[in-house]
Amino acid sequence: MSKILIADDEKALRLLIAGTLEIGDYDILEADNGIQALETVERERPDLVILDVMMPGMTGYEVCRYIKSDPDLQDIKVLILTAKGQQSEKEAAWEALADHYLAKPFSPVELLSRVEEIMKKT
Amino acid sequence: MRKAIVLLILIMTFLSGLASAYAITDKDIDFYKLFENHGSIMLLIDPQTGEIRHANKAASDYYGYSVEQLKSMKISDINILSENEVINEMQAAVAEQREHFIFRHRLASGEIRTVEVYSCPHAADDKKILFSTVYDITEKVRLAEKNKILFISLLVILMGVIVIIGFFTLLLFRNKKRLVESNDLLKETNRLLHEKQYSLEEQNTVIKGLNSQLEDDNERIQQQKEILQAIIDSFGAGIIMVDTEGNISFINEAWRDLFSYLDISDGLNRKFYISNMGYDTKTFFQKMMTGIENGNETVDKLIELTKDKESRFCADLEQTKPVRRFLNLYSNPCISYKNHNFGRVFVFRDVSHQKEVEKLKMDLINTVSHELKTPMSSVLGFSELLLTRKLSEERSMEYIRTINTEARRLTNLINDFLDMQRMESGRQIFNKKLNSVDDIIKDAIRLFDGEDNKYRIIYKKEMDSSPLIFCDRDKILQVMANILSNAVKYSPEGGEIHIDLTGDRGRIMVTVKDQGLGIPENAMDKLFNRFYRIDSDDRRNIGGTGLGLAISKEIIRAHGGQIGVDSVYGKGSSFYFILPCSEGSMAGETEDDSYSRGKDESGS
Repeated sequence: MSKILIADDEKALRLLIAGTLEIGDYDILEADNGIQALETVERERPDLVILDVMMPGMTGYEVCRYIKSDPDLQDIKVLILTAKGQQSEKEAAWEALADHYLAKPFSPVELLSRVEEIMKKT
Repeated sequence: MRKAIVLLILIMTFLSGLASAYAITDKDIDFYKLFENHGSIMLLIDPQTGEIRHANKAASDYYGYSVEQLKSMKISDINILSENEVINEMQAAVAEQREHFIFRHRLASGEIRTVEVYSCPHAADDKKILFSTVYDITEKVRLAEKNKILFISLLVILMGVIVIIGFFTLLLFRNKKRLVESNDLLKETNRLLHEKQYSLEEQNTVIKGLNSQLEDDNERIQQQKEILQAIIDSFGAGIIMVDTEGNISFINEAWRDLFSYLDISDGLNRKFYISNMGYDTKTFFQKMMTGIENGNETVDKLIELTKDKESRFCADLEQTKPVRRFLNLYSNPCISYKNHNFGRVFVFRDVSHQKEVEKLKMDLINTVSHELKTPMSSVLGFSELLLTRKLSEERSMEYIRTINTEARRLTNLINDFLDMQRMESGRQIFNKKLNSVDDIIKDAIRLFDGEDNKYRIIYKKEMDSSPLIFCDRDKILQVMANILSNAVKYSPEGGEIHIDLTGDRGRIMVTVKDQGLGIPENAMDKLFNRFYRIDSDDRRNIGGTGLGLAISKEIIRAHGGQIGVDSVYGKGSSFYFILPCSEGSMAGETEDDSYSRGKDESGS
């Protein structure tokens, strides 16, 4: 069963993402800040990490960059949730070597189809 | 003379009677006596021979000859004319052609006298005798001659006088004429001069009028020029004018202020129409563009524009030295309403403030978009899940509750913006009543109950009574909540949050002290500015609109109070606000209660 880590300081958003993905055959892990997210990544080795940008401790970009710079972890797919329509956010996501990004506010249907697409490739 | 003639006639009558009768009567004797004794010289002369036949006593006396002697003489012996000449003369008398003669007779003494002779013929003895009466007119003639000379002399003198008078008269007349002419000429000249003078006076009046009008116009033009100059100088933008030749012809005061650090004042000795600047336009532009990013390219562009009569140009310039600022430059061709091209204007404005405002707005938009998007994502996401999936009742309720919470969060955010807008525009209405500060603080603490157990809120009321303040309860609660939420938010590691209520002399003070991140020194003065958020790594991920403290400041100010902060960066912050409180509500306050607080206390 594929493991997906949801890292977001907003409890409501973690609940939303988890709820969205519960109809798929995924093992859902959660973290409420960047550091906790990295610890979970190293321990659990998820297939996909969904990262919010704004998190206390470490930003989503920093977590992503860390994952992608570690040879043991760099195969893990990363999806960053950015604020909508801002070019700088999109660029920052690519600079952090994220595999995918999705702008907030997102549709659960869109998120699910994105995640399913990523999981098929792995 | 008439007597003589009458006498002569009488004698002639006598003689004729004598001759006719030949017999001498008594009457004849009387006449003879008359002849003989007559005072006038009388002679009887034979015209043929010239012999004197008879002469009276007067003749004898006159000529100096005796009568007898005279009777033997011829008239030519007396008359100085020749005998023949005398006889010829007598013939005229005989023929009665003449009766009056003027002769010159010689007296016995030899003296020659001028005489007047009246002769008339008389027949006697068949012979014609001339009866002549002689009158000496020598003196008369002399007198006449004398008179004649005198007359002629007088005449000559008179004529001379006349001539002189005439000459002078002529002269005078001529002079007079000339004088009259001169006078006329003078009069005419005078008249002309008068006319001229009048004309000149008229012209002078006209000129004076024109002059006065010109002065008025000039004054008006000067005034308009001054107004225009004042407008241009007071215009909030630096203006440079470049003429059609590419030379800088004008710089306004605002430009000088804007570029006051440029030492070019020596060259620009006058505001208007700078003819001698000391250096060319390019050098001037280069000096102006010093410290501006891409300054050289801009100078090239400006020089290119000075030759361009049509293009409009606009650019934002960022200057890094000697001052850090943003300039907006635009350049238009300078064309009058009469379509005259005067060159080109370059207008510089310091837009640093606008840029700052713009940046703040952009920051706000970013903040707002982030702050709004998180709850929006929840609302949209959960509602979509509810709509598209069949969920258990428990799951559905969980989702609906979350939607509700996030929607409230959204509402609060929107209310913050609206509050700020209202307060800034002065439209905020405060519903002020007497409220207990103690109650408000307790209500605020309740809002944070059960939030997170890593925080501990400790409230201490350092007075016995419960002071009342005249305030809008909700607004003061908002301030309290904001300060408390900041204390929680900026204390990511948790810790104690102390709330103290103190009071003194009609005022209360509430202090909220945390053990959080603290505030950097350079951020202190901007902390209460709207949209200001401290940009540092340790708090970049802490959400907020940057409006909370700005709103709190406005609320406290509207209640006649003060709000402030003490902080030691890295150790925590201490926010406080002071409000006036109702008289007598602090009856129970203790002397020990005090506001006085130092940095050490506030920072601990």
